[in-house]
Amino acid sequence: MITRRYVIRRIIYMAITFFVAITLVFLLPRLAPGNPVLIILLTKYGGIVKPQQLKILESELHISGTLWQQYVSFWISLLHGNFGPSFYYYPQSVSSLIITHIPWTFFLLGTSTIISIVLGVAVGSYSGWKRGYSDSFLQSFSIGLTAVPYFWLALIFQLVFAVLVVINGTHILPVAGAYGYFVTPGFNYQFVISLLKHSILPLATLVITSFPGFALLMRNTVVTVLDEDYVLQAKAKGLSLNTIRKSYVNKNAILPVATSVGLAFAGIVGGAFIVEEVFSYPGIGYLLYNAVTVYDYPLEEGIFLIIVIVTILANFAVDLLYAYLDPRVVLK
Amino acid sequence: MMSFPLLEVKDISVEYGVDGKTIKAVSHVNLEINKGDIVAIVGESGSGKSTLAMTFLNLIEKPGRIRNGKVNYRGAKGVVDVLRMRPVDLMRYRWKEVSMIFQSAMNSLNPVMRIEDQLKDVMIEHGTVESAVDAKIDEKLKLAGLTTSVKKSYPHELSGGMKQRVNIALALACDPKLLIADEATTALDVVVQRQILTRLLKLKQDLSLSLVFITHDISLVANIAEIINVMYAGKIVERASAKQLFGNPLHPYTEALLNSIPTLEKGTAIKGIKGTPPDLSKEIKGCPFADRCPKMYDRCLAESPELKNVGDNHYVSCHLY
Repeated sequence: MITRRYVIRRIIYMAITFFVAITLVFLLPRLAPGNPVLIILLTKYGGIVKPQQLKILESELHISGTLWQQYVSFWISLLHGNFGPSFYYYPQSVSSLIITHIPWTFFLLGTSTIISIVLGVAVGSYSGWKRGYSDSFLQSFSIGLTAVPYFWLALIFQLVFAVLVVINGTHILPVAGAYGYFVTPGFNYQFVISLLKHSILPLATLVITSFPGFALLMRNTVVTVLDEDYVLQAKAKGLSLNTIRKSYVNKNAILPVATSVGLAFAGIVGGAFIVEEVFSYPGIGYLLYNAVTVYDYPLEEGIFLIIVIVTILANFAVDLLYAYLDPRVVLK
Repeated sequence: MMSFPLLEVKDISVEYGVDGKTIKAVSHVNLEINKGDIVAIVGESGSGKSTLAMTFLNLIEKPGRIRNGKVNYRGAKGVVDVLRMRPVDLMRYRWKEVSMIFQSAMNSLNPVMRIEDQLKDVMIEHGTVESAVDAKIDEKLKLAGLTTSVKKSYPHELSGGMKQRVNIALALACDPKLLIADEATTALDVVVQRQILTRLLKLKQDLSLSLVFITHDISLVANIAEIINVMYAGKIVERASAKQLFGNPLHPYTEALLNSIPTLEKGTAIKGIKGTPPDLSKEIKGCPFADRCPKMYDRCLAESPELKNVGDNHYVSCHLY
């Protein structure tokens, strides 16, 4: 049950959270040591830099003046929905950069998150229900996998499938990128095939490292629910095992999983930092990584802004979803 | 005509394997329930009464296991052993022939399903046609003394007494022949207890049900049960009609149990029973009640007594008789 009062209060809270988070987004890059202007001048133009040049560029990039002045102009541009040009990819605007990169992240993380959840819930539910060998296997497998760093797994995949193993003179899978060098993006057969081929390794890395978490969580709640009195009563009622599993066990066991599912979806926009970097996958994670390394303030701010908004909204959505799934939850 | 019992429990033993120990929860119990009977099983916590009732539905699960014995049920197609049914037949038997109001009625409703859906799934499973379900749900809720508006509710929206009634409605959903009420009123206050009991008795009359009452509260069943079984340490130690049992308790345990009931008369002190029930994971050589029994003599420690008829269908398992 959800009251209107709850929704209004929640919106106020979200606004406060947003304000605080955005302020941090503004401050954090500026607190990091190093000067973006110097980096741009040195990497792009090299040579000796005159103080006047530095000043001109600083004012051009809105990083002259006091921190307070910068903060005010930051809010003004934010309210105009305009982050201006990126420092590093100058003169490309931050919004256009995000717009070109975000579909790749949506594709990669959307797919891997959905596969991980479906696979995790299915495996966990089966394993908790059956117990026995498959359950012991799942547990040791999952715990083992959490000890494996996923960038390491990504590197091993690259090494094995894109470097070492050669069949008929070609590698099984491409080593990096989102699609092949010689295909033109669009709805054509070659592009789609190339796209899928390039996505296999990053997808596999992401799924293998994130589905055991869901599986383990689901498995544990299933085991707990199986001990509940209403499950015993359902058996006494002579219901089929299928009905018991669906309406009595899974319906109750899914509740704690719903929370982590919601937050996993919030993570989609942030991209997979390291996996995108290792596979040079042109998503948001890759973009953010580059932005941080070259002190590209506006780009960092733009990406963080989107992550903040989506995270706040996803949290809200998870609460609403929870109230929908569990009739005992009252949001007022 | 010789009447064959509706349900006949033969020499049943149930064990629980916990931490490498084997706990003999029920050992070698025999019991008969005839059509239309009200049978009570009375005993303290851990005496095995709930475990015994679970065998009626073949509901013993790991770590429990049924060591030996039979549960013969007389259905439309003759007598069948519930413990050796095919899974499909067992599904049809459960709830349709024998249903149960569980001990933990507060937690035995699915928290995320509406009451009507929990009644509906079992009705459909046992062959009620979709179009008849709604009317039948209303009928069962009314039988249990509820207004039909509760069907749209979730369990957490109901009070304890209402949940208990929902469980009664559930137990009646498929018109069973035998209803087991396992501590059905324990968690409720006396006023609601009374209401629920009266309701169950009325249903028994109207629907020609057989009833099994399981309780630790012997006074509760004094006025309603026709036959009372007293259980102690996994065994039935005395079986008699309510009149015989209250008028002339034979087993020292029954006697002690009756002495521990508070009365309204002045000057009668409540007496407890000294000691604690025996550890069921250890082999008991003699009578399980021996070390708490005021009338114990050497034979009690050496030899386990059998349940025997001492006349007029009064059974007792004690060396004194």
